[in-house]
Amino acid sequence: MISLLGLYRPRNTPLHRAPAWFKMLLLLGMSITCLVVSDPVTSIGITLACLLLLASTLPPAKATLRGMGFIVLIAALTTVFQVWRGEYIRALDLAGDLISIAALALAVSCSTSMGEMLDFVTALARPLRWILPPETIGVMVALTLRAIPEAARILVEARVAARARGLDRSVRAILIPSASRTVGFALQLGQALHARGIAESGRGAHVPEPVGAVEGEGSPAARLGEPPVRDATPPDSESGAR
Amino acid sequence: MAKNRGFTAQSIALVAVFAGLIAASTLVPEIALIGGVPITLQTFAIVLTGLVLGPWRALAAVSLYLVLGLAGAPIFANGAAGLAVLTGPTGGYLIGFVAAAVVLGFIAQALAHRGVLARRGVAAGALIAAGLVSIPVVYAFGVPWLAWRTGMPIMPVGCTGLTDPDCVSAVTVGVVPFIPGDIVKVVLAGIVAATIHRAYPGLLGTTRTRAQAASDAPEDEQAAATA
Repeated sequence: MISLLGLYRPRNTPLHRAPAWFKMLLLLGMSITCLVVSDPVTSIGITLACLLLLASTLPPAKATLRGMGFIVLIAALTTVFQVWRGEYIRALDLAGDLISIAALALAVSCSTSMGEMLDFVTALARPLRWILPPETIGVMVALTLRAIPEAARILVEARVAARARGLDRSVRAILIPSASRTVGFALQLGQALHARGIAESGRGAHVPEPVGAVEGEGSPAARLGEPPVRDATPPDSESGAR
Repeated sequence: MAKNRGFTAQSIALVAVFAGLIAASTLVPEIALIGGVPITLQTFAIVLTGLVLGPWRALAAVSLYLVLGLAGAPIFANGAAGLAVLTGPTGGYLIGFVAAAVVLGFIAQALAHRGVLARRGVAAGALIAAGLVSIPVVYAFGVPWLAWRTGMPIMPVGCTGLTDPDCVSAVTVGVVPFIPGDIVKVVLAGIVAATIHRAYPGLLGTTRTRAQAASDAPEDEQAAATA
């Protein structure tokens, strides 16, 4: 039921070898060009070029057909609507835009692995590193990928439990237990992270190690609040406390 | 000193798990309502994220979900994945989700600061009313985008009958059919969010000052040490 395998397949085509920023720039530039140019001949040319690019990445057939099927349906409806209003040229242009941008976006998705794409996003987020350090982004992405099956499992279990009580038509009996269990899972996860000192790396990384001066005033409660990792790094701080 | 730098461990976990919840809500099979009408949980999950997490963590959670989806995980509605969803005609709704979660987060935080969430009978009603704000916000982004990409007018002008081409517009195609379902999901999300705030007080607002004082203690100590 749940597969996290996206569109990407490892292949060795020109688009697979191109760097992620180049592909994203190509997609952005091509989208703007498509939307600005309203000449049907250019539009059809761009559409054919994008479809060729998509084909050149040797995409997985089923997922691609599903993705393109949806957009072709929308394009067909748009065309029917515009023809109905008597605007034939605009119909051609709009349908061409929709299909070409979708084909190019699929081509980029098929040729760029999730890792590459996330590296690209992290690089884009670098100006934000004072608020959102790259390590924090990495931890969040990894935890989210782990949390997806967990949240799905909680939802499915809540439905099974509701059905067992004869309440499978009661949405509240499904959603309230699953939502509160999900929050509970998150809070436990937060405690586990805190206990390992993982998330503190973003906040305390540039603060010098407190040596000496802390022991005198540090209350036992405050010391308990600290992650054990920091205690482990200066070996003499334990002996100094005694 | 470093209070605003980065998230705490608890916030990171909440953001990641709620991003996971939004993703999971598109993966599990639909839930049938009493009339047998199926609902998908995606809008519910977005509204719940805003109401439970507050503005900044909700912004992070919904953005994280979008980034993972755009990077290629098949977690958008109907198992779609990748950049084509954002660049397609319905991409505006995704941007609208981010805006709606942030707006709801601000409202929920204001409610929490005024102590509304602590009062048992009032909390659900207030959260439902807050959640209803999300509907115009999502469509404010989704409808112009849809109209622009498909060449439809935004509003029906001079509409006379069902077979009149003037009646086809972004509002009649992209808003009206979804409004009843949206209202049901917002009501559900408000009820569930009120329950969560009752079960876990201090996720937002009033008790936050106490929790924050506790979590700031080690830092104040470090500040004293470095000064």
